[in-house]
Amino acid sequence: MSLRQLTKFSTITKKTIKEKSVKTILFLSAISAVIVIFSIIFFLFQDGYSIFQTAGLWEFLSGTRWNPTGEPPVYGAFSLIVGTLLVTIGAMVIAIPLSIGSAIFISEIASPRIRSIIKPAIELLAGIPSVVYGFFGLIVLTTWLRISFNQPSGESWLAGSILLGIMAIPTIASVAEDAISSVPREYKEGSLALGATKWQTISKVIVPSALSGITAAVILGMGRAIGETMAVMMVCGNPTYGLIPEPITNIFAPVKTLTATLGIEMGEVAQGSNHYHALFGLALLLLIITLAVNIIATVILGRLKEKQKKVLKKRIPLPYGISKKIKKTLYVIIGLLVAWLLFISSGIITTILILSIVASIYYISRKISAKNIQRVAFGAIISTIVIVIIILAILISYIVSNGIGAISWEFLTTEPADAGRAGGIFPAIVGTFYLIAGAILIALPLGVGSAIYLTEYTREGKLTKIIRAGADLLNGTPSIVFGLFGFAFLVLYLKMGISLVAGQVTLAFMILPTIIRTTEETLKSVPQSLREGSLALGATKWQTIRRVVLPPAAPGILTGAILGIGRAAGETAPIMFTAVAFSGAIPSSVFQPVMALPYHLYILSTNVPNSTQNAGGTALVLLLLVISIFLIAVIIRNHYKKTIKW
Amino acid sequence: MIKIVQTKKKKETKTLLAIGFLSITLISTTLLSGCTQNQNGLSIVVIGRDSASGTREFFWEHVMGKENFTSKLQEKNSNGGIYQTVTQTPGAIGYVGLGYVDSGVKALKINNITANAENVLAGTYPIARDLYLFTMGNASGLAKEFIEFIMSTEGQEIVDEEGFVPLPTSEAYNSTNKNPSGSLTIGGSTTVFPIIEKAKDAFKVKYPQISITVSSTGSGAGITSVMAGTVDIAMSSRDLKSSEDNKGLMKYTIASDGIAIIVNPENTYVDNITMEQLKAIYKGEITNWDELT
Amino acid sequence: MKELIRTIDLSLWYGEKQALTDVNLQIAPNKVTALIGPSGCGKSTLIRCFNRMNDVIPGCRVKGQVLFHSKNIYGQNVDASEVRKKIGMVFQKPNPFPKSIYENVAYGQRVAGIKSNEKLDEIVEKSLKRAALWDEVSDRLHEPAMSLSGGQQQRLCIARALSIEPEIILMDEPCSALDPIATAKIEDLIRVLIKNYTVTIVTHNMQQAARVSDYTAYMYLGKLIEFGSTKQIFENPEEELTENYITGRFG
Repeated sequence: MSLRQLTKFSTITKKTIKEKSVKTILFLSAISAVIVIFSIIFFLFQDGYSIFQTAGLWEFLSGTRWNPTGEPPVYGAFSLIVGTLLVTIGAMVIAIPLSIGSAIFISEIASPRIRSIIKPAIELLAGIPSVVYGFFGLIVLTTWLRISFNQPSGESWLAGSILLGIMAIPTIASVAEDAISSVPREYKEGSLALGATKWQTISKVIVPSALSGITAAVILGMGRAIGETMAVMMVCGNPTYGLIPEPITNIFAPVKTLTATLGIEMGEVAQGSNHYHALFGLALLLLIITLAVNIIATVILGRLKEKQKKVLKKRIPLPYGISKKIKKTLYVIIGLLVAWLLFISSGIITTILILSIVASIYYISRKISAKNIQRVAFGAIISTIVIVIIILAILISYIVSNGIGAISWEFLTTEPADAGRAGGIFPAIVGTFYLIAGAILIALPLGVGSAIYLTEYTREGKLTKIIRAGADLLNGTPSIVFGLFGFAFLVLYLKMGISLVAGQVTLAFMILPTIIRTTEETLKSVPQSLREGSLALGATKWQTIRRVVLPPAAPGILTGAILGIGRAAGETAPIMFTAVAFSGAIPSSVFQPVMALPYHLYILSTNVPNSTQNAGGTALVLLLLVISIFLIAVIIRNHYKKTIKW
Repeated sequence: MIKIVQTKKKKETKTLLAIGFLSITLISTTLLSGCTQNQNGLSIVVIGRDSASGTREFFWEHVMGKENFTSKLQEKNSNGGIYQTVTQTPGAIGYVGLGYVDSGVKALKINNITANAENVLAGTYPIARDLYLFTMGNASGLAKEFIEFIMSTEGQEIVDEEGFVPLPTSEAYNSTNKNPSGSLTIGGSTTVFPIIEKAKDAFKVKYPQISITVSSTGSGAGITSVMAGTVDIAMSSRDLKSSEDNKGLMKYTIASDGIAIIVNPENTYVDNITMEQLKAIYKGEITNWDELT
Repeated sequence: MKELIRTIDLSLWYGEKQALTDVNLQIAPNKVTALIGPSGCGKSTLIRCFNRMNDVIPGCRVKGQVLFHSKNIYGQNVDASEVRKKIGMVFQKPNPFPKSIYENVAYGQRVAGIKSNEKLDEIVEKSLKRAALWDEVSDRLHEPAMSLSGGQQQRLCIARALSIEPEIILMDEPCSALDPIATAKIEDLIRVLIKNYTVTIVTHNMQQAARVSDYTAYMYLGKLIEFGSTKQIFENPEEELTENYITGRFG
């Protein structure tokens, strides 16, 4: 062999070694991500199911009293389940009309200039941390409810639903808006060409076509509401054993949700005790509910798509007349049910009044021209967006006006004093930065590595589907469940103690599924033709990924990472029992506890009386921090949307 | 085309006006009906603590006789939380450590005994308890120094300042030839928390090189944490339960306290209450303040 | 010639770009008028002016008049949806709604306010028969429209356009997405339809224009170059540009 051939040969071997080692590293990160995802699920299951044995599965699910520290202890989760459901239903009642109205407004009615203002405004609502909502709810909302409706206490199901509803609006609105704007323009034009008004087109063609996406949006919103901890913990009243309101429609009754129970009781459980297992049982319940919601969403989406595209095979179609009759009877039954609910909750007079109003509106609407119906409909839609903007304005102005008085150089650079009523929040700011830095250092490489491996190195098959399902499940899992996992596994089992590193790892696990999914989506959007072009020029797989696939995907990956950071910065539940202390200094090692802004706000507003000024200041600083993180992500996304055109 | 459109318009304007009028009537009636929730007297809003609380545990044993609370009791996670809710809710009743009583709330007399330090010391106030610090095994090193400091005269002055009841006797704190270092994690009772916070500040003045972190998560949480090793010292406003005995915990009594029953200052229905009435309220048997006058 | 539609100095801009310049055209009743020309000449833009479909496009500006029965449809108080009930449109790509066949054809009358089931049944049957689709779908009216073939879908769209009883049917390259057999069926249909309707068709297929239309308008770069009877345009064009296009020298 000539010298030239020898050197050629050795370069090939070097290349191959590099290729192989890169592939192994990526494989390891994918495996670790998979291990993390499934071991969390497994751990919860293992520590949870023993309570079903101790207390009995039926008693656990149907018992109405939750008293784990009583003599004898009673583990009945039914009233907690009902509490979660009631608060979620109430939230949906508020969120769905406002979100869908906003979505329709943004995609069909607003001019491009107004759209460019309103869309980020709604996304801003998503950036506000839940503990800030809770703070607002505790100080303003509950008092307002108590006074306006002349109730003994404002802490109630209604307060929780209002906060959760507002928090769910951005989720539902943005996904619904995506669905509505992706309805093909041909449908819109086809309808208009037949002489339909704009509103008729929207209501009869566009929205029905987008129904699958809208349903998915609503279900995502529901998942958000089910999993919320801090806001409900602060405003729902938390009746001590759980409470099913009497009558069930009493929206001013206090309720206790599954998530609030976890948040309240987690700190006091001894490892391995029955109470400990009981809390895991609740976490398992939450996980199952999340899973059920995910599955229902996928099934509904599948069926809707099928219905629109092709004839369902192997189904004996009902004769048309009969299916119409069934629909009619269904409407009658639902109508009777609603009337009965109205009757038991507000008496015969109101029922008759409301029913007659509804009947007359129905009768009148048949007589009015399409143009006037459009005017009314557009009026209603514009009012929904106005309401959403007003809510946003009230929230932001309240926090700014309350907090601005506390902000000073001293506030930002000194330690707290007098239990936080005086002094500053410097250690909390630093602590928050440490937490998110650690979280992203762990989650980003792990998440991006796994996503690259899954997208580029494996074929689409059963394995990748399972991994994606696991990631989706964890994506929708309530953050308090991550907190429980972190507390039980990292703090207690691994004996990390309440420490910065336990908090960083817990947060990392929480944002890992999001990073995996967003990276995967971004990588998939890079056209296959680019990869093929690179390989056809003799580049290796890793070279192709590094030089051709990753650069255009970088903004998307970055955006996903930044959104993960924003979420980690604002969350309280995962760090409450894993990393934080109320008063302390900046930790000198990762094994010490740390202060953090969300937790500081939570303790000030619920534990320390007469601290509203500093609580306001903390809320403002936290809000500014999270909003700026989200804004950076939005700017990057918009900038690169313009430059990358496939 | 145009003529037909015009006559249609007239009919519809009428119908639109009708709808507008109808909806205004509907909305106003609903709003008005909602506002006439007539209240005779003032409903009692029962506020209590979560299950991690030592105060609640004590209250449950000594006032409730271990009977169940009313299911309408709203849980707060701290003394501060109860205080806050009572100041904001006209009909509320709650229980807090003596140190949390100030002009923002009205503390009821129990059997005509005022809730204050003298009556606790004299033993006449019916709901009184001690406040403790717990460590695993004997306290050593920095923890030992800190506990000594709290039990010293200087520390007991802080107890007094915070509104709690100091120990009957105490010695001066001796800091000669002492150079402790390192860090201390303390967690537990929200009742004891204000004392420890202040003591921490004073202690750090003596030894600036040490660091102490404090969290208030409830007595039960503190005790569990010190047993699990996640904190060095547990603050507690209750003694150990039977399930916590014989686990190697060392108890240090640092103060006494009374549990004050507080109501909103605007509550003019009661100034004094009996233990039986208190229990009945917390069991949900008495639901309106006017039942007590 | 009596005219149904007449444009007067019609010009149109998409933002800064001018797409139509001073077009003066007449559409004769009960006849087929074809608009032909190379890509980008403005024929689709022009036909979309006839039913104010260009309103949907943001940044679109119109100058001049489009007279329908001597009234300017771009006038001050004219309601576009009323115009569209008289001037129907079939699009290039068949666009049935994701609903059943029945619901697609009934849609136009439903939005016009007809609620009686008997009336709707009648209209659906009549329209489908007029579109020569009834025999193929009468037994599966409530199945999804998407289950039909491309050619059937386009005839469904024609039936749907007919259901609102327009005076004119505008067709924007209706056969370009269809195979030759389906195309032939639709061309036959057009010749039958003009007994009761007027048809204006945009096509890039010259042979189709020659087969199907009575009048032809040739457009180039947004201007109407020549208009006349189909026979005259194809056999004896007056303008050189027209002749170049017809003889295939470009386009």
